[in-house]
Amino acid sequence: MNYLGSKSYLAMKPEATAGTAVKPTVFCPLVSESIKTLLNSTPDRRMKGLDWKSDDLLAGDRKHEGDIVIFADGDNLGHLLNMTYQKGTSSGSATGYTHPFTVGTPDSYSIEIQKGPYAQRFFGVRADALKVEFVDQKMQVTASIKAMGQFSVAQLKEALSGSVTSLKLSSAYDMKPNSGLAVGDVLVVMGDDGNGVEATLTSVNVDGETVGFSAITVTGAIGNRVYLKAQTPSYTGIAQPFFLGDTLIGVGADSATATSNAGAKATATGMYNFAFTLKNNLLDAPASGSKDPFQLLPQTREAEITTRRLFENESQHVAWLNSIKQAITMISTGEEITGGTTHESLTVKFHKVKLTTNEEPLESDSLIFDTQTFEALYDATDGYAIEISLVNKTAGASY
Amino acid sequence: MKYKNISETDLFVPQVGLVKAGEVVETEVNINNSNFQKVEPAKPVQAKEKEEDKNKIN
Repeated sequence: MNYLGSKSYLAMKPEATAGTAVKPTVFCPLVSESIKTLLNSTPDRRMKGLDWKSDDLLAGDRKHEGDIVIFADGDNLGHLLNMTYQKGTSSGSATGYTHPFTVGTPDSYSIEIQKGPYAQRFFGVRADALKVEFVDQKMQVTASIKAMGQFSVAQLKEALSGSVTSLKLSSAYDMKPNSGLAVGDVLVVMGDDGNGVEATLTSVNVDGETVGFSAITVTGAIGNRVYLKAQTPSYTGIAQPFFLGDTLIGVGADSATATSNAGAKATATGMYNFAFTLKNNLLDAPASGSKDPFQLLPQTREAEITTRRLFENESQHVAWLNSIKQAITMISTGEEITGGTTHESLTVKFHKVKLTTNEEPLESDSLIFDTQTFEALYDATDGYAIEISLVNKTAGASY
Repeated sequence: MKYKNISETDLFVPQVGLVKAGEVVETEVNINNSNFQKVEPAKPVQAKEKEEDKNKIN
């Protein structure tokens, strides 16, 4: 049987405790994803009297990482921001909630991606980097995530016969193979007859290998496959993504001026390209007690902005050569929220930026452009490097 | 099978359609989703023997 990738989903939910999986309930339409588990197994090179390199593989430091790419609508973007930065106190009502995000420890998420019949659940997920760019008008966000572990498929540790209310999972992958499962998950247990029997979990036992469920009837041998059944996705009214055409970018000597300039097209700067990347440089090393990343902690944060704007005068060249402080504010306005007059919006304020590159290449028949790269810096006067505010339809309790 | 949308938002389910918050939908699609709860068909209630019938002397 073959499966179409377009029918897959991304589901997300913040965890109450980082690394303790929950069943994700928020479904987000993906553009693409490339998250993978890196086993980092290496050949067993002990001398065993062989004239062949090795007869087995041994476990190494495991990692789980990759990219999630979505079009940034106000609601789903909130979750990616929440796994990148710390959300402050949300305010507002159903006609428009405002969520502030600042540099800080982000929420940890359980996410799930469907692969045909099974779902791969990653838990303890945080964003290592978040890239925001405009692709053919649409705001596209790439979250480069890391996870503390995964559950997708396993094998039976003990044979099952007749009516059973629990099973043990093999520890071939991990000593605690039920990590990543949550009550309410549906496991499919492959019977000896080749048919899968569904078990809805009522317990994920602390022994790390047992899961409990209401009685099912199945006969299965040791080693039979068990997998996490993919959910049926459900979507809230999916909003349009933010568009470059509905985005105003203000540049100024300080953040207040940049924000004021971003308030109207007449004072904003027309950017032919605008992208920025926020980086958390997550610590993802394993430690005693875990073959996977022991925890995912942000280290030094940084951000970079790239722009392409028409060359109008020598001011940006001077700003680059003389390392002059500038500030940039981006305000993207989205759909009107039903029931009121508030629009979804994303405001990103870079309080202090300086040019690291400013190129003005010449091409025949073409206007001269400034192609720029800014380093986002901490502004000691304002006390911020970056501030983000998101207005959408999602209540703060969902984050 | 009947399923109830137990979330606080209206949800669109592929192959099922829009299910409003709190609404019960009947579908042949097997919905495996935490936002939905399976609505079990009510068991037939056995008629209680009336007290007066028990006391009735035949």
